[in-house]
Order: sequence, then C-alpha cells, then structure tokens
Amino acid sequence: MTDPPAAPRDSLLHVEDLRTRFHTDAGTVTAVDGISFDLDDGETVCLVGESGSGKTVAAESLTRLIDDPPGEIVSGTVRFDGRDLATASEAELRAVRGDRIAHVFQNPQRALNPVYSVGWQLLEAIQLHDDVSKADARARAIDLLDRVGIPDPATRIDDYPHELSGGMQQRVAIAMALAGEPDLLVADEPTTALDVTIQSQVLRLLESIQSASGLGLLLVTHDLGVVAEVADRVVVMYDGTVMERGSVHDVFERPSHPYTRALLDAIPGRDVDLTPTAARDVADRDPSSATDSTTGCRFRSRCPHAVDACREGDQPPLHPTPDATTSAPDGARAHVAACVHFGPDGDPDVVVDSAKSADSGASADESAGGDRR
Amino acid sequence: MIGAEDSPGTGTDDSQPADGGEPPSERFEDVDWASIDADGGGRSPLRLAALVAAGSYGLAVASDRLVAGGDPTIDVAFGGVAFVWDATAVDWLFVATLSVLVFALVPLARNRRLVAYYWRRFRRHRPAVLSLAYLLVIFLLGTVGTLFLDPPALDVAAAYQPPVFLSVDASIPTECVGPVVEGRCQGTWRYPLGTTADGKGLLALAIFGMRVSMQVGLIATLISITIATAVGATAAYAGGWIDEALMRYVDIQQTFPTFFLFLFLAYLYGGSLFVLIVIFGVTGWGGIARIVRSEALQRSEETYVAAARSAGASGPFVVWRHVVPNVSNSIVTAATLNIPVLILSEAALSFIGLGNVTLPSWGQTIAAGRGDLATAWWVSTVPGLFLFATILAFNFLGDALRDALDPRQEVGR
Amino acid sequence: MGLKWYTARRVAWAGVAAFVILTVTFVLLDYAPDPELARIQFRAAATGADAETAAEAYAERRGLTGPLWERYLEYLGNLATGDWGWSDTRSQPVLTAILTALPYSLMYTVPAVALSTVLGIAIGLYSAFNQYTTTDYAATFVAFFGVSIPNFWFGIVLLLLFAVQLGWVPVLFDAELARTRPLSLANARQLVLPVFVLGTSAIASTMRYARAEALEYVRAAFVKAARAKGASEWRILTRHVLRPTLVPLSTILVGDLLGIILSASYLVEVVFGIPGLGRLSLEAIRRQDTALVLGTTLVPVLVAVLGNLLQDLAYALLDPRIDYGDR
Repeated sequence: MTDPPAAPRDSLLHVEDLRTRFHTDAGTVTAVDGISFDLDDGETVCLVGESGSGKTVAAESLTRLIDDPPGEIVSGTVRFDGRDLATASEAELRAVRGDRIAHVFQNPQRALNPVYSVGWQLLEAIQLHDDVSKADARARAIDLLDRVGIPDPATRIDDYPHELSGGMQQRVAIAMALAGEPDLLVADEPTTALDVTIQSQVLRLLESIQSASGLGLLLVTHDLGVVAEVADRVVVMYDGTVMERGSVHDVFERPSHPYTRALLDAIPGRDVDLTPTAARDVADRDPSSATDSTTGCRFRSRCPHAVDACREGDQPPLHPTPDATTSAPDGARAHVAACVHFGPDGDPDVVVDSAKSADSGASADESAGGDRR
Repeated sequence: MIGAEDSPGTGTDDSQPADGGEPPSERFEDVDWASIDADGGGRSPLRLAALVAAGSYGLAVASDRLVAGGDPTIDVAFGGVAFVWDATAVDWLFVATLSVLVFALVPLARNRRLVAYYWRRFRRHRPAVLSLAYLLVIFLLGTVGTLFLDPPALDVAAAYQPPVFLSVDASIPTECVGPVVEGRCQGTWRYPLGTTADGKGLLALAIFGMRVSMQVGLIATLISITIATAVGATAAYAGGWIDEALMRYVDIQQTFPTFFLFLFLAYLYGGSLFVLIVIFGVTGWGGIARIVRSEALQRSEETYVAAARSAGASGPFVVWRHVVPNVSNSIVTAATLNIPVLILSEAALSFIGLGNVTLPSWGQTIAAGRGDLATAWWVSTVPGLFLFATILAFNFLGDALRDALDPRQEVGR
Repeated sequence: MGLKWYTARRVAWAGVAAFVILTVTFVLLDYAPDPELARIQFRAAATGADAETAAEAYAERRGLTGPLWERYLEYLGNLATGDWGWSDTRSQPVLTAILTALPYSLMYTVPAVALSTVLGIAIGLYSAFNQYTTTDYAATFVAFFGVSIPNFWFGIVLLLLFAVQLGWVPVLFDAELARTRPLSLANARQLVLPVFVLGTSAIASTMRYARAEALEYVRAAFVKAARAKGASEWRILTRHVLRPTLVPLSTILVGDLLGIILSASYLVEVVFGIPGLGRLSLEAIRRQDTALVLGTTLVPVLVAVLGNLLQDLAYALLDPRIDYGDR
C-alpha cells in the first residue's frame, strides 16, 4: 500500500528478478537467480524443473519461509495484491501467511506436527487469523475436512496424523491451507510423496477447490504430466533461472528452449537426469558448480545446440519465441525462452527443426563442457 | 587416528563442503580390526607382535607375582628405555590396557586415507584439538613422567609454600622456602604450584594424580566396553529371551544411581584403587551395552551380514567379524564420554574419604586442602583445576569424535 | 492395549526392579565383610576373650542367625513395615534419622531441580533456535563448563570466594536456622550457593539434551508449515517445537537429572555442611554404621525407581504415537 501506484494492478502475484542465496560452509549458493513471473486470480501456474533447479526455494521465498539464516533474499520484488512482500516486515508477512497465501508441502507426514491432533492443528490455522470461538472454529474445521473429502470428519478431527494414510494426511494439509480462505495457494510437489493412485485424487481435489473458490494456484512440480493436466501457464526453471515461460499450450506444443525440449523428450523413458529426489533442492546441488560464478548459459554443457555464443556473458535474457505473436500480447504472458538462438542474432530453427536428430548429439558436447553433471 | 599427517594422495584442504565432501567409501566402522586374524597362521607381523606382547606380559606378571614376590621393585625394559618401577596390580592392568589400545590403533593407523578423512572432520572442532593436545600431555606426564619422578614426599618444614610468583603472609608457612618480602612469603620454583599442609609439592601431587585419573578412566572403561560389547552383541544376535533377560538386567543396573552403587560397593569392599577400578568397570557398562545392542540390531539387518550368514559363517563369527567392527564408532564415542564420568567419580569418592588415603588422587588432595581454604587456597584449587580441565577436555573430545565418526548422529542438518 | 494396561505393566516392572535391587543389596550385605564384626572380634582378641564367641553373640544380637532365606524374608518384611534397622551411631531408628535429614536435602534440591528444568529447557530451545549464533556458542560453552566442573570443587571455590573472601554468605550452614525459619531470607542466603552449584550441572545437562532434541525439530517441515500458517516465532517455539522436544527429553531427563541431583547433592552437602541425607550417609560410612549406610543408599535407589516409572508414564502421555505393546 505504501508502494507508488505506478505499477498497474494487473496480476495477483508479480515476481520480478527474485534472487535467493544460501550461505553455506562451502560458500554462497544462489539457489534462485533472478526469476520473474506473474500469476492471476484463479489461474494455475506451474513451476517446473528438475530437483535442484531452485523451484522449491523460489516458492518458499514468496512469503520468506526459507530458513534465514542460512538463506537470504538478496533482491527482487514479490508484489502480492499491490504490496511488496520481499520488503515487508515480519508482522506484515505473518498476516499474509495462511490468510492470503497458503502453502501445501511435499511430504504431508512431515508437514503435520506428530504430537498434536488434526483438529488442534486445524483450529490453530483458523484461530490464527480469525477471532472465532473454539466451538465455531471446530465446526469450521469439520466443514473443511468434509470439503477436502475426509470421510466422517467429526470423528477424524480427533485423530493424530500418524493414524491417517498419506493421502488423508495431504487432504488434511490442504484443509489447513484452506482454513484462512487464501487468495493464493502455493503447492510444493503436493503429490510426489503419495501413491500413484492417490496422486490423481489429490490433484483433482486441488483443481476442484480452485474452480470452486477461484484462488490462484502456484504448483511446484517436476512432473510434466501434472503440468499438462492442470496448468494454465508454465515457468520452466533450470539452475535457479527461468529457461522458458509461456502458456501451457505454447510450451507443450512448441517447446522452444533446448532444456524444455529435453525435459519433454524425457517423459516416456524418464531420463535419469530428471529423476526427482525427495531431498531438499539446494542440498542436492553439486556445490562446486553452484558456487561458481557462472558465465554464459547454464544449460550449455548439456545442450545439443550449444554454440560459442553460449559461453559468453550472462544467462541470455528471455527472448520472445517466433510464436510469441500468437499468444497473449503483453510481456508477462508471452511465450519466451532464455536461449541465444531466439535472440536478435539467433536462428530459432537451429533448435526447433533439429529436434528429431538432436538426441545423439548431446554427449559430445557434454564432455567438452567440463561440467561434472 | 589422531595426530597422523595427511597423506599426500588424499590430503585436501578445508575448502571442502561442510560435510567433508565426498566421504571415502569406507568409514571408521569399516576398518578391519579383524585383519590381524585374516592372514592366518600367525604370519602377520602384527599378530606376531600381539602374541609376543601378550606372552611377555604374562611372563612379566608371573615374575612380578611369583619370583619377585615381596620384592616391590623390578626392572622393566620398555621401548629401549630401562627404568626401575614398582609395579602394583593396577599398574599391570594399566599396561595391559595400553597394549590393547596400541593394538587397536595400529590397523586404523595403517589406513592413511581414512585417517586423513577423519582428521579433517575432527580438526574442525578447535576446542577438541586443544583438548587432545592437553590430554596427551596429561597422559604422558602421568604414565611416563611418573616413572622418572620421585613421589611427593612428606616434608613438614616445607608446608604451605605458595605457588611461584605468588605470596602469602609469612606466618602461614611453617618455614618459608623462598624469600620473605615485607612479611610475605614468596613462592619459589622449587615448588612451582606450592605445597600442602604436609609439605608435599602440589606439582608432583598433580602429576601423580594424572596417573591415578588415567588409570581409573582407561582401565575401567576398557573393562566396561569389553563387557558391554559382549553383552550388547550377544543380546542383538541371540534375540529372544536371552536378549530380553540381558536388557532387563541392564535396565535394573541402570536404575541404581551409579554414584550410590559405587558408594555402596566401595563401602562394602573397601576403596583401594584396584577395587574402585573393578567396581567402575564391572558396573558401568549398561549404557554402552544398550548402544551396542541397538546399533548391532540395525547392522544385523544389513545385507552383508545376511550374505556372511548364507555363506555359512557361524553365528559368533558373524558377530565378531561383521557386527562388532561395524559398531566400533559408537563404542569409541561412548567410551570417550565414559572416561570423564569415571575420573569424576573416583575424585568424588576420594574426596569424601572412601578411596585409598595414601594415594595421590586429585580428589584426595582437594579434600586435604578444604580445611585450609582461608589460608592456603591453592591446595584445593590446583588439583581441582587439573580435574576440571581433564574432564572438560574429555567431554570436548567425545563430542567432536561423535561428530567426526558418526555422521548419523549429526543434528541440525 | 491401552494406557491402563501400559501403566499397569510399568508399575509392575518398577516393583520387579525394586525387588531385584533389594535382593541384590541383601546378598551383597550378607557376603560382604562386616566391619562391625571385625571390630568386635578384634576387641575380643585384644582383651583375651574368645573371638568366636564374641562373633556369635554379635550375630545373635543382630538377628544374623538362621538360614539365609529366613533372614531375607525378615529383611523384606522389615523394610515394608518401615523398620529399616537401628542406627548404632545415632542411637535411633534408621528411618527416623532419614526423615530428620530429608527436609534439609529437599530445601535446596527442589529449587535446584525446578530452576534447572525450566532454565535448562528454555536455554536449550533458544540455543537451538539460534544455532551457530554467538549466543548459541556461549550457551554451549557454559553447558560444557557446567557438565565438566566437579561440583564438590566448584562448591569449595565458591565458598572461598563468596563466603571467605567477600563474606556475602555464611561459611557454615546453620541447621538450626534452617529448621526453625526455613522461609527466612537468612536461610535463603545460605542456600544460594548449594542451589547454584547443584543447578549448574543440572542446567548444563538439561540444556544440552534440550538443544540436541530441539534441533531435530527447528528445521522440521511441520515448523515451516506452522510458519506458513502465520504462526509467530514465539508460538512456534512454545507449541510446535517444545512439545515434540519434550517427548524424547522426558525419557532422558528424569534418569539423568536424578543421577546428577542425587550424587551431586551428596557432595554438595559434604562441602556446605548441610545435615541432609548425603551427610547422614557419609557419617554412616565413616563410622561404619551398616544399617544406616543401607538405609541412606536405598532412599536414592527407590527415588530412582519411582523416577523411572514417572518417566515412562510421562512419555506415554506426551507422545500420541506410542505403541503400548512395544515396551
């Protein structure tokens, strides 16, 4: 509210040039290195990337949930409903967390406190932001459990987390996130820790909640199948930066960045590189490469289309792709890719047309790149 | 494992990440202590050395007990140094303990890559490195130093001398050894840390106290970990009612407050150093046995144990060769943290007068100085400082060892 | 299996443990050399009387005749009925001597336990929440200091400093004052140092455990989830971290604290001259009053058995995940 009104109130969430660092014994790791994206009311945006790409840190940086220290948000803006959360006070953030922006975490078993009943934790979520009596809060909690599809909620409310199955636990976690009737729900790999059969149920639950209440959904995932199913727009991340951004239609139909293409190619066979691990993203990263002051494109060592220009300068800026004109006209929603081939001097066809023959070319350059991965 | 230089092949600098980077595929618990047996037929030099050592040890004990008999002084050649030494039962136990320690360390020291890795991890704890240096000094002074020093002797004329650089009212010492300046007796280098009411030099008392503390801590701990390993491994391996019975026994033993158990037994059987050490060793192993059991249970689940079993290895063999070595890191840590407890207990029992009154134990000296607090404060203070520093050092050391040897127990990750 | 069955089993186990300990002490006593007997025999021999007759007379007087099991049953029966034997040196029943001494011990152990539990957990949690800060390092160092310093020596040093040199507190404990005016300021003043010495080691130990356990939870996902709900740091600390920390802490705390308090109080009483249980026991040992030695040893043992029982029950109440059949 103290911000100048110059910024047009166009989207619910506007992230610009967000940078998050972790100070470790091994040096400073920039886990999120200048990412930008937008999210509208009622819209679903997916943050996609392999483990270690910084997507979880990015999601947790929005409301500064990252551990500080060692984490630190260095720069950037997180404009949510007109105010910048990156510079907001701790008290302001507390008022936003849970009430306006809610989180659902990857592992429901760990995200629920084992020594408190489901009801206690739900009531806490309700009473933290609404001054309601215990009885009213309990009634609302039962209602919430009912909404997320917990059978017999009036009994289940007194259960402890360990008495519930994984799917049920995640439903409870979602109910807890909905307690404050948020405008934005940040779901970080909400289905990864669950059985395959349960995954689609939880996903469908999220979809139905979103369509019913019209909240914005930021879904962090490595699973392109999930993306295809629920996303309106996609942000592809690699090594802390945005590689490609666009509507789900554009990104899936006309993947532009070589990384996105590799990602999509990997779906059927589940390439080893992209296997997700449950471990924390940052911890998994190869520290020697992460602390390097990177020059050039971060993906070049694995890129089949790398050229000399990829070694120079910083990560290429997000260039509009050739189909940019067909998608939404304004900058935030355009289909863009951070690749020299899409730049003013580049030729997108190098990437787009060679797709069929590209698979075998990757290995040769990999050894030349000298990156350990 | 400690004090060895980084071998050039593996020595990397401290710019390694927090967890020491890529740990070697082997870990501390993988050091093959049983490799001594592996060569078979006594051909391994190490095994030969162990046999020779054990044999000569047996002969030496026998000659001391039988041949020397009442003659308290015998000559022993050790590492090329000959000296005269009045060996007691405790001394013999101590020699045995030190030999076991040496032979336990040799296989580890051979694995230089591993030594380098653990030294790097250990080195991060600066207080622990200092502690280690301090303890080595205490250990050497107490074991080697006492062999060349005369035990503190009674000298009533030299009572209550202040430590060097300090002074005390001249009326307090019987006779001032140093100069008397303006009615104050100055401390001298003859008694750098002052003297007691008996005129015993506190430095000498402190050094002989080091031997007592080291003997108590090391011997009793070795007894404890031997029993604990046997009981813990047996319980884990046998399972069933044997496990239940052994662990229930440990429960009860642990319920009895240690100090009062010591107190009661020391009262019943006398508080000579030998008896104290045996009491400590035989009753203080419950906690370590629990650790060994739970670790061994976890390891028994692992594939290599199943593999050894399916290859036809006998039960005790599997336990000895595969399970016990794999819990060695926990044992080492627990043993290190057990030592200060025992040193403190010995000092406490000596302090209240249950120990051997003629023994120059730190606790004994602290008690002796209690009555003179107002006049000769240093009598209690000096041994107390040594006691405190030693216990602190062992605690720092144990903490760092736990950190370095046992990544599983690392917290806050 | 529910809480009731679990409780019943724990109580039964405490009974078994106490029984075994009593049996062991009886057997130990029976086979241990009896200093009193040795003295009587020596005296008899010195005066020219028959040592054997004197020993028999002594055994008769002590009720040491008859088969072992008979004496054993009598011993158990006596203990159960409150007849803990006769103290020769004090010329009063052992139980009376113990009950007289007990209030003096409680006078400083109770405040020390209360203080160390509250402060130890508080500092430990704070330290865990601020890991690797200067405060954390300072707290860790203080913990090492407290765990390592020999409390009897610490007591002596403090006495030297605050009583002998500065004269802020009395050098000698005034038992009369403590008995007649236990709640007076003067009594509080003479109890400050004992409480401090006892508290230092207890706080240090509690704090180290609390910090280690809390560290498991400080970065837990559910703490992050609570933060995402909008909970304040204070609420997170006092609700989300404290409660799960108390679960493992309860299993360590009672046993550990009991060990420290019981043994430390013994030495503290010797140093400060407080006529509590520790001093009573020490006097009994010095004057070889076996019945009193046994009595003063059994008190802490029974306290420990009871403490372990309470600890098991506290654990069951604190942790909803407990599997009652497992223990």
